[in-house]
Amino acid sequence: MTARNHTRPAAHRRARRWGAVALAIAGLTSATALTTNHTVSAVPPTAKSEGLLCTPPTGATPGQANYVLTAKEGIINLPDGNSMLMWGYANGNGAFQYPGPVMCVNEGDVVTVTLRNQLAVRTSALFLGIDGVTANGAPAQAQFDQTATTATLRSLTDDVAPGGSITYKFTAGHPGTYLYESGTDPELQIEMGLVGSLIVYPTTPADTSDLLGESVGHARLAYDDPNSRYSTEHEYMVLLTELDPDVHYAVEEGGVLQSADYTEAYTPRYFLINGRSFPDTIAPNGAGWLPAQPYGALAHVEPLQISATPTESDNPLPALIRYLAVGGEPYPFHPHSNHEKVIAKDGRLLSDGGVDLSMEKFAITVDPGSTIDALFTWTNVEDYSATANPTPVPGPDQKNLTEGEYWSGSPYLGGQGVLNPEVQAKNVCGEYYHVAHNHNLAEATNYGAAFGGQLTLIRVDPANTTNCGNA
Amino acid sequence: MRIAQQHRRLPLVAGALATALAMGVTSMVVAANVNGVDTIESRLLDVAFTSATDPADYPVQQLDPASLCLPGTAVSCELWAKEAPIDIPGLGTVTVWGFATTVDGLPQLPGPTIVATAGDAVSVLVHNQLPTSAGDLGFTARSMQVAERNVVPTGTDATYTFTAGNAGTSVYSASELSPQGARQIAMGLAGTVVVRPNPAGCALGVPQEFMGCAYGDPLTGGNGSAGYSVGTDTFHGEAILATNEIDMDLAADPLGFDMTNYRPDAHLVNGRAYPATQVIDGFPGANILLRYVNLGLADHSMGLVGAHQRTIGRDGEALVHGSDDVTVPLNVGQTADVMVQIPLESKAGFRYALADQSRQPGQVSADPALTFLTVWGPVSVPGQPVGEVNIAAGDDETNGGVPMPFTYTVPAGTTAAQWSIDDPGVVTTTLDLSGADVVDVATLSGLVNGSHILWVQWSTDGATYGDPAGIAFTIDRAGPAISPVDVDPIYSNGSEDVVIGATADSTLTGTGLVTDAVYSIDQCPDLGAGGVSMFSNGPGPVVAVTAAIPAVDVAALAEGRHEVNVQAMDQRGMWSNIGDGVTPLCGIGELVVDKSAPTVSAGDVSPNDNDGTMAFPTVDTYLPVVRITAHLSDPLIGTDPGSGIAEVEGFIDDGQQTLPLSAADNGNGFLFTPVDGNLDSPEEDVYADIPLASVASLTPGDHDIWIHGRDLAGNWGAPDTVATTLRTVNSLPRVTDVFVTGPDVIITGQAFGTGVTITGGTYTIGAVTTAIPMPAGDPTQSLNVTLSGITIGAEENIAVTLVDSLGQSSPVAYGKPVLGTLTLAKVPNGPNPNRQRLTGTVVPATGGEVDRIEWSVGSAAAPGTGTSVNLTSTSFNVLRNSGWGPTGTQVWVRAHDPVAGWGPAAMVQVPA
Repeated sequence: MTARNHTRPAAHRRARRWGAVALAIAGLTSATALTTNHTVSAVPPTAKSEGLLCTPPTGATPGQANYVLTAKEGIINLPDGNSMLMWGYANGNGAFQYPGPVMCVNEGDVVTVTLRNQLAVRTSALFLGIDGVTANGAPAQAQFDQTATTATLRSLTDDVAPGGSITYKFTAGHPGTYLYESGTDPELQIEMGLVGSLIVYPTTPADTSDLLGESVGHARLAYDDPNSRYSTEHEYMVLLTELDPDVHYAVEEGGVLQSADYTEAYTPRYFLINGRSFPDTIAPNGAGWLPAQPYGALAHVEPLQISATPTESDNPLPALIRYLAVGGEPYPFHPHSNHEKVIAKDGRLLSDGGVDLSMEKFAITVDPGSTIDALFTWTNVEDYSATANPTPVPGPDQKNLTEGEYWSGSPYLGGQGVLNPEVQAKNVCGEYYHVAHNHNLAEATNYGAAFGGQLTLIRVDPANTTNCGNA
Repeated sequence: MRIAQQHRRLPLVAGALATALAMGVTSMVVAANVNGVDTIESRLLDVAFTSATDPADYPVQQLDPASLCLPGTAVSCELWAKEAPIDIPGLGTVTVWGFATTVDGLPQLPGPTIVATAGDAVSVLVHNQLPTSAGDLGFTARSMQVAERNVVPTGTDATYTFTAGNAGTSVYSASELSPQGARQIAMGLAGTVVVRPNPAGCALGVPQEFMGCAYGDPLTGGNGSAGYSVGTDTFHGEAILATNEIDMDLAADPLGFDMTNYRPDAHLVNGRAYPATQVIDGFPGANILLRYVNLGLADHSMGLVGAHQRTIGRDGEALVHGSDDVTVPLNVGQTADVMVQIPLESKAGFRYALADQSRQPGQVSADPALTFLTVWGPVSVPGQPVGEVNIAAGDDETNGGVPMPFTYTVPAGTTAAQWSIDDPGVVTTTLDLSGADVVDVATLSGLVNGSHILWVQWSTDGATYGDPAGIAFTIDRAGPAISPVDVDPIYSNGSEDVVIGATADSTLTGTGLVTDAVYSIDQCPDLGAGGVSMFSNGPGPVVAVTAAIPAVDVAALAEGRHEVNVQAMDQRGMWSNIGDGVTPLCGIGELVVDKSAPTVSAGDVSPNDNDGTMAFPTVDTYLPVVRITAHLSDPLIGTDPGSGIAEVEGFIDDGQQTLPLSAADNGNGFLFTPVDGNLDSPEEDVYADIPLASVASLTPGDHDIWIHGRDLAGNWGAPDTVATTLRTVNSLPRVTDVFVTGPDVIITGQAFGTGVTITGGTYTIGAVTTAIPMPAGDPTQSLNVTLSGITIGAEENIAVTLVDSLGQSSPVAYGKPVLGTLTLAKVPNGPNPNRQRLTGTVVPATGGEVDRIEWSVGSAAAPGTGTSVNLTSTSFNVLRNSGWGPTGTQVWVRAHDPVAGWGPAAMVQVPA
């Protein structure tokens, strides 16, 4: 308990000091573009505020995708006011961020990732599920400290000493969602934050012959299979991680640099989606108060609508949710309001010789080191409306209600009512909010305080409205 | 040799595989291992492993026959359950409960594998040799129908029988029906059941070189989305990966330990902890069947690095449709059969890590459930050496302008070597085998900015070159990146230095230090030429560069907008450029030179011709005001707008402000407020409010108001511009004083306004009103008349009004009290020599009253501002311990009438 009691104030002191550094570095980043925009987050100013946020590769040569990652130290903020020393992959010379940049490449691309190591320990990037990775030109292999008589594992892939750099290269052979993480002392280094995601988009274009209007341009396949079609407007990442603050404290103050040096029992206290805990998970991408945690996790859809003959008001494309996980145990993730259709695991379509093996699930268990792709739609099944189809029972008297800030005041999608005066309403246009969370509820907390942790919201807007602020 | 028993030489290689594998012959040497089992350490130290080139020497993994029950159509096994300390490789000696295969043997962890064929009748004779305290013992096998459910006490035997059903991988263990069954399993009484298909051979059409089949159905697991070159049911080798854990606290006290505190000290694979875990052998293209069995109490997520795993069976059942996984979830009690095809392109010495992806820092065993698939295979170019190449740190980032040095090793037997860039062996340059060389400038100049690889290949005959060794380097011609330039102030009139600053960052375009920076106005220096040097806090990778542009330089610039260009140089001499090394690039900031001051127009006062009672209609009714408005314009700078109005102030000719105003008065006036709320543009409407009380206090007549403004560049408008005039008019005449001294009454008064005079007045005593005789001569604004012989009776007062030439009457004024006697005496009292006494009487005006006096020292204080003393009669007696002052000090006293106000002051001096 002594260590834990020390953790918070120490981290706070550190946070202020490093917060200034992070801002300064972010300022430099924006300066590179020689624009007058000054942003304090790792996200470029043109970035979208919701959904999967790709870090595009540098270089304009078709078929090639180049990235530079810099392993460095930084600080993240937790919703309970705590802050945590982390190690992470930064984009190029950009500011520290957690998780690492979302690398988005195309199937068949030759991907070159140069890793620069600004940490005090050796580190590496291991691309799980990617075959044929080379490191500085040679096939990537586990590395051992070898003498004439002993061989001790140092890294599960080629690693790089502090201050050095290493170039990994591979062909993105299969579309899908992949993890990259440190292969060096992964027990400690992944816990410290060296993890990110790699998205490989297929070359097959989506069939748009049954679509009309706007949805044509937003249709894309997740895999080279028509059943994986989704809307690019609604593509989300759910990268699940966990943190034990004592480990980070030991690294920050205790000089622990290897997992072997840490002998305490592992007890994770924070559980994160895309590097954030609820309620930060629903903050927009690049939220200014989370300069090192650029990725939000709010899903935002409209009801599914498919007409026999396509119309402009149709909304036929599902959302795609890309789940990834690292940590100590499986996370049973549970979206409220509808099942999700699991179409792929570990970057491989659930399909066998043309047999569709996808399945509808309400508990999507994401095991450490694995990824799952799921399609999500929300259908207004009962289609209740205040005039045409009222609910069969009267609603409760408002005096008996405790109204949440996301409640519209009306049970009808798109309806809005008068809220009790003390409610600070955040509902915009009568939209619905459903939670999506780790159903191990002890992990939907921030250091045990509910609700927090691996929990986010699914926002459902009424169909075809222009007053929801997102048209 | 035991190792030979676990491997089977590849008997036959056919087709493309044979071509790939047909290589030279090397004798196989097995290096040190642990308890006769190859670990990753022993494998890495094994020369034969990395040099094996003969496919006939490639071993593939087989199950360890030493752990098997006796085979046959009626499989019979005999297991001795016992407690004993055993050596767990990688961990140490731990007391376990386990099954042994002989009466004298040590218990094994995990238990011996039972191998049967589908349809076999299996009988297991279990001898319970556990301590009595361990409780009765039974036997069960998951997914099998074990006929017997009895549990037997220590020292007795029991036979359990079941029929091996489907092919697949399953689990046997101590029976949970025993009261201590759960602890018996946790302590190690569990093992694997492998059921092979019947017939034991593979289905028709499976090539001979395959060793066996998992389920006997070539369609097992389907084809998968990835597609396999061979059927997923047939394998060259197979391995069991049985996981469990050791908790030392449980081992120390198997029956008393609180299982809710179960926290493993080590994760074991096949009873071994990393690094002593057994490696799994294969060769390029080999199908290896991994039979995962979770015999422990912890979930695992078994991940393979560098290849996918195809799950073809679960919990002893074949899957119709398998799945391609990076990680295979393995929950407690589960089994999974996965097929791994070792990539065809792998080479001798490759190793694929098979590691639990559930990661928990802080465990004693830092690498839970970790082992490796190791590859026996060909070296790519047989017989040719492979060395190493290196570029020194610092040399590996270059602008291409100088040769890039590198070093390389020269392995024994090398007669030739060559280097190439990016594509090994395509465009080559011969090396002289000196161990050091350079990449020439001509080659470097042909490379685009970014990461490249230098390859070196070696040869023993100068004809065939071996595998290349590579090292990455970076071409960086960009020079430091420059941030936008901060200019302070942006608007200047050249009266003071302008400070500029920017950030030069060499890390954004590569590495290296920023060593120099220059600035130039209105042009980007041509790679440093023509610029003015700047200060920096470098050299460093990211530096702040600053400079002060002298005021004289700014003043010399023409009015208008100018660009401040900043450029920096890195240690390789590269000035900031667009990346081609030639075209200069600058960080830019804007400097605006503005020397013309704002002008004022449209000055106005509302309401003007003000008599001191007329207020401007504002919402603030508590503070009636008069509003002054004006318009300020900052002149155009060329065709651009001026810098903008920054401040507007006014002065009013109120009798205190003297003319003419000078530059010293700038900033001392009353401030104007912008109508639109912001002073932010070259054209501003402004206003200022003057309290009505202040207007009323002004002498009637014209009062000039001067207004001027300052722009952002600091230019003040002329301070003596008359913007407008406030005219105060139409004030009523006033009676200044009415003094009653016996029969004389002195009346003074004043009229206000240009040309306005006192023309008459009246005084009233009792009910009698009498006209005041006006002095002879021209009417004047000031009146001072003395009335003599006036009789004012008791309880009466005199009331006076005056009338001016406009016919306006003044308010009524009354006679005021005067002092009668007034004396001041020193009255020392013992130790206090300063005590003084002021005494006197007050003579109220006839008919008037007196309610208090006031006194002041040195001079007559304005009425109402002295030190007041209340009176109850017409005499007063004030004793002051501190006195009023030394001899000669003047003390002024006046008296007050509650109706007529303060009378004239009288003086007395402190006596000697």
